Amino acid sequence: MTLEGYPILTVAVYISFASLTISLFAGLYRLLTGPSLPDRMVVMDLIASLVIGLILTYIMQTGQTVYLNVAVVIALLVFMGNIAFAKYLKRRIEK
Amino acid sequence: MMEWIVSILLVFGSLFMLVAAIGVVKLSDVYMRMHAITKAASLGAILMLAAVFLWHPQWIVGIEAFMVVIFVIFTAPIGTHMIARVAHRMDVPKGEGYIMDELQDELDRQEKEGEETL
Amino acid sequence: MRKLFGFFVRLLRLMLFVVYYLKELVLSSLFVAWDIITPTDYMRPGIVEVPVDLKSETAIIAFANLISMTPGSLTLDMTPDKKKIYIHVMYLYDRDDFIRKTKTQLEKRIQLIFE
Repeated sequence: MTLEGYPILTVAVYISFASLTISLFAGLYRLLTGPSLPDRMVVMDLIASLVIGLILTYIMQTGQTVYLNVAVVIALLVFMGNIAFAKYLKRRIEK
Repeated sequence: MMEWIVSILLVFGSLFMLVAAIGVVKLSDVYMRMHAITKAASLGAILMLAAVFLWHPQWIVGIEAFMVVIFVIFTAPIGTHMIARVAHRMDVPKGEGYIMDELQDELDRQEKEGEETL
Repeated sequence: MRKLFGFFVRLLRLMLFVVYYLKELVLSSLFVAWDIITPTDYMRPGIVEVPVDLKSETAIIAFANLISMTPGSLTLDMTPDKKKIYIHVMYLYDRDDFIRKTKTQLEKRIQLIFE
C-alpha cells in the first residue's frame, strides 16, 4: 500500500522525514563537539533510535514491511554496543 | 479516519525524537542528556511502531513491532544505566545548579575510610 | 484454588500498575518535553540515595528499570548488598518528598506484584 490517494498521510510522512533529519544533524553536532567520551556514546544511542524512526517512516512511504527486520536488528545491536562500551570504559578506569 | 490516527501517531513520534535531539544539544551535562534520550526516543519509537502496525494490520508486522517495543523498553534503561555508572566513575564534569550528590559523598567517605564496597 | 485466586489478584494488580505507569509516563514525558523546548527551565538536578526494601532479584531489576523509564529520574548505581540505590533526579525541589513518593508509589506496587 503506497501513499497515493492519502494526502494527509503524505504530509505526515514528509513532516516526519524532515524532523528526523533535523534531529540527525543535532546529534551530529553533539557527536563532534561532545566534551567527553560518554557524551559521544549517548549520541550513538540517539542516532540508532533516529535510524529506527527513519526506517519506519520509509515503510510508511513505500509499503515494504520487510524492512521491519532491519529495525529489530538495530534495536538489538545498539544494546550490545552500549554494554561492550561500558565494559571497555570500566576496564580502562581500573587500569 | 484511520488515516488521521496514523498521521497523528507518526508526527507525534517523530516530534518526540526531535525533542530528544534538541535536549541532547541544549542540556548541560551527560546525565541530563541521558534523561532526554532514554525516555523521549523510546516513546517516539513506540508511537511510530504503533502507526506502522495500524496502517499494515498483518500478523508478521504486529509480532515484529512488538519485538522492537520489547527490546527498546527492556534494553534502553539498562544500557543508559551502565553508561551513566561508568560516566560517574570517570568523573565526567557535572553541569551547574547541582543541589546534592550523595553518590559522590559516599565514594569520598569510602576512600577516606579505606574500604572498597561500591 | 487458593493459589489460583492469588494468581488472579496478582494479574489484576499488574494490569492496574500498567495503567498507572502509562499515565505517569505520558504526563511526565510531556512535562519534560515542554521544559526542553521552552527557553526557561526549572531544572534543579541532584543525586539522591534511596533505601530499597525489595528482596527478590526480579523485583529489584524491575524497580531500577522503571525508575529509569520514568522521566525525571535515572538509576545511577547500586550498592552490592542491594540496600541502597542512587538516583539522578532532574527536578529535585524536595529530597524527602521525592524519596517518600518513590517508596510509597512505585516500590510498594512492585512489592505487591512480585513478592
